[in-house]
Amino acid sequence: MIFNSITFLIFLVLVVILYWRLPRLARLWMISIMSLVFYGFWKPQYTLLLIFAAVLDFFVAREIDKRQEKRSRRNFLILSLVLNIGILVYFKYLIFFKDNLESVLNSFGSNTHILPHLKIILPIGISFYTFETISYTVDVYRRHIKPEKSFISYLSFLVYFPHLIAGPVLRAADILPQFDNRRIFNWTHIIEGFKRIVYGLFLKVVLADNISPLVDQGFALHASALSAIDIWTLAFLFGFQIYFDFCAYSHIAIGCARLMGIEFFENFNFPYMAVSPKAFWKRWHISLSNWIKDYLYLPLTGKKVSYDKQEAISEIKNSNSIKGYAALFATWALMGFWHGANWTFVVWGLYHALLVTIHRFTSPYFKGLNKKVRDISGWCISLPFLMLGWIPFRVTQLSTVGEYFKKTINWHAYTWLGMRENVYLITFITLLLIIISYLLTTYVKPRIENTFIGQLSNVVILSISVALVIVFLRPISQFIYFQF
Amino acid sequence: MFKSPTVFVNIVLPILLGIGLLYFYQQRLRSAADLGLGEGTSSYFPSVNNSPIHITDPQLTDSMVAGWKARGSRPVYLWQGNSQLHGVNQYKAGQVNCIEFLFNKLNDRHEEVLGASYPNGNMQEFLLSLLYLHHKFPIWGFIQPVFYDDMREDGIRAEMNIPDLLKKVKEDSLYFNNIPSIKSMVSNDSLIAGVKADNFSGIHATAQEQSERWLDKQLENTWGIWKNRPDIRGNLFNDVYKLRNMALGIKANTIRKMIPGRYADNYQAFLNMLKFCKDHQLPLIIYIPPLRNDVSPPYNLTEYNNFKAQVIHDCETSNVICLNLENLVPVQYWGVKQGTSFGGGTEIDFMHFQQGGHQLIADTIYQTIGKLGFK
Repeated sequence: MIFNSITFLIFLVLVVILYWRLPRLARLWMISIMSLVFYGFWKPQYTLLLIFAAVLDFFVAREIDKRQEKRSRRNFLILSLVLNIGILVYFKYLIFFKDNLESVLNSFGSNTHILPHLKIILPIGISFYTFETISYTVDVYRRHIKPEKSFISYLSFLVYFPHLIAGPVLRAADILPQFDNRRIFNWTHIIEGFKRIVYGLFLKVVLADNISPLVDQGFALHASALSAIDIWTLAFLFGFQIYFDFCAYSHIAIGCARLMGIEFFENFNFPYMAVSPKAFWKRWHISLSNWIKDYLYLPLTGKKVSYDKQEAISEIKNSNSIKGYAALFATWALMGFWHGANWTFVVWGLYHALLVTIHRFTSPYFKGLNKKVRDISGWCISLPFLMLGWIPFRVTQLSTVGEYFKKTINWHAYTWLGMRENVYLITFITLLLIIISYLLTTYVKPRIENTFIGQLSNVVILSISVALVIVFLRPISQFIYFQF
Repeated sequence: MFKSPTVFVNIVLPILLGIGLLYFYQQRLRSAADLGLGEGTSSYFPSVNNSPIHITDPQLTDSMVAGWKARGSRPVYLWQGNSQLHGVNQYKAGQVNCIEFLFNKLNDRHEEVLGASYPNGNMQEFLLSLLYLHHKFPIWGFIQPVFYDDMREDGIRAEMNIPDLLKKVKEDSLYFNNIPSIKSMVSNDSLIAGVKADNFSGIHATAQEQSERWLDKQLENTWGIWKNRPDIRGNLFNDVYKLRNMALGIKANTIRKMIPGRYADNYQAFLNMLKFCKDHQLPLIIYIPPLRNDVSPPYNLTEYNNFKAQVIHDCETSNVICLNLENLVPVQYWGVKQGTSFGGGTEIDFMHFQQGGHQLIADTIYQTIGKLGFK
């Protein structure tokens, strides 16, 4: 089921009413069943895969906790990792590996087909719930948390529909206690949830879905028909589309959970206002960045995970060694690969590793500058390069990535325009609106929040958003992150 | 009613006000089909015995062909173009457009014409439309205007994403392989970028599609606003467009520059159209469409003259008739339309003329058909 649909809104109202009416245990059963129904609306048979993932890690975690011997604990952890990652590899990467291996063999003159033609449908959200279930088992292995005693509680956490398909990537330690505690109904939950859902739907159906055709048409043009300015514009425009789309999903997910009194961490914080590549990853898909740091980057650098500190990958101390950089690049390559089975995603990851590295090397030279000057110049330099990073994320061929990047350094390609004037205008206005929205949220909102003007603005903005959501609400497209 | 007044202020009031805004906005809706033409110009799509003889949606082709068959499958010409064909400036009840004029005239010859026109169409769409319609009925002769404006347009409209047409494009790939944008779309098994065929594309072939379509239908049947949503969206976009024009001072006579990438793709589509007609021995009349000559056109004149010269040259090279009808329609048949920006008054309509202009152009095409002796 997708959020931008009437079916979902009716489903949500029903779930929220039931949730607040039922006693604790019945709530958990209801959440699990309804979440499976939510997932089953896409492909019912794949709910079995989801249940399998829950059963596997619920019991493996218990076994790990029971055992004292390190080797035995590790064996169970490996069992969980092999099965979880094995399933992910089968559904997401098998065709990619097969195709690549066959191309390598073909380049040596062998016309071999390792496997017959495969048609595998990627289970929606598999990358997200696999990460969540892995983190649970690893946390139990590291003795950061005790295993959950009740299977229904664990199942509720894993399949909880707001985060099931595209995150935020939750940790059992943050959510399970909230399920276990008896929650008291409060209208504040409903108000906050309602607002987040309306804003999320606004971002998705009004902004992202209407930017999408411009992006699709632009990227459908051959590279030769695009000027360098077009490439930058498309990079920005796709950057806005994916931000609105994904941020919308997170808003709606957080809003749905709030309706039930459950709190998720924020997943976005004006990422395009980041003053450096490092700061960007503290503002973009925050839950994934933290997951990658705790379960991939730190183990690769050989450092101990500290759950108390929320550091960005690039902030980890003593990481300026060769091992540190190797870990950084390997982490980003894997992060890219997690997004999709295509070399272009690996390039996207490595591109960001490069930006972070350049920032590490250059930032000490600007330390003497006034903070405001440093921040503004940092933003002006970082934003275009962060946006350019969306090119390998959006195009599907490595050769096209090369053509696009080459064009941006060809000065002759800056002398003409290849798209309609509206595209540049919309891109510029969107950027302007993001900046205004950031300034209002950061500097004006806290001052007027509890005043009459604040209340009035709130009602006006919400009313216009409601009207536009009614007009534009259509399941015309899925959320972009569903494919990951 | 509510335990806390904040519930009313934060939930109930915004919902009520939001719906109220929509009711208010709904009062001033214009039909989506006429929005692109501007007030002062109306769409006119003729039909005979309830079967269309002029369509703007290729999905109506079957109904048009059924009418043609019912009338005795007479030799038929296809006339394609943009909204100039269906837009009648200062339209009055009972007036007709060029397609109907030519249709009536051809009755004497026991022949007929069928029309297909697409607002803001581009040459790539015209090529696709020709391929599709040629596949649907035996075209006797083909009439195609080549508009400079259309060379700035791009993209294929959702109505053209027909499986049958996609199949034909794949079969006749030699007419599309050298148009990168179409080639890349076809490789994604679609004729439109992004494969967004309809409002339900995001849940296509899932269990949710049925429930969503059912709920959507129920809402359409019971709530006027829901039913009018496509028109509300169209009007909202039109208002944004007007706001842009007002802010940037854009008027009907503002110079529009050529867009190199689009021009290349569209011009290639035109050349492929010439080749298609030659390969299929399809008699063809190309014309440079009428243009207002009392005011300077909204084009860069050097670019426009180069375009014209290129079209005439390529038609000559391919032995195709190319009529230059730039000066065919006199000043009195052109008109004005409601301004395209807020508070902008009226503006010159450069594209659409009054019924008199439609008659003139139909007469010219009729005479050319006669001279060429297509029969």
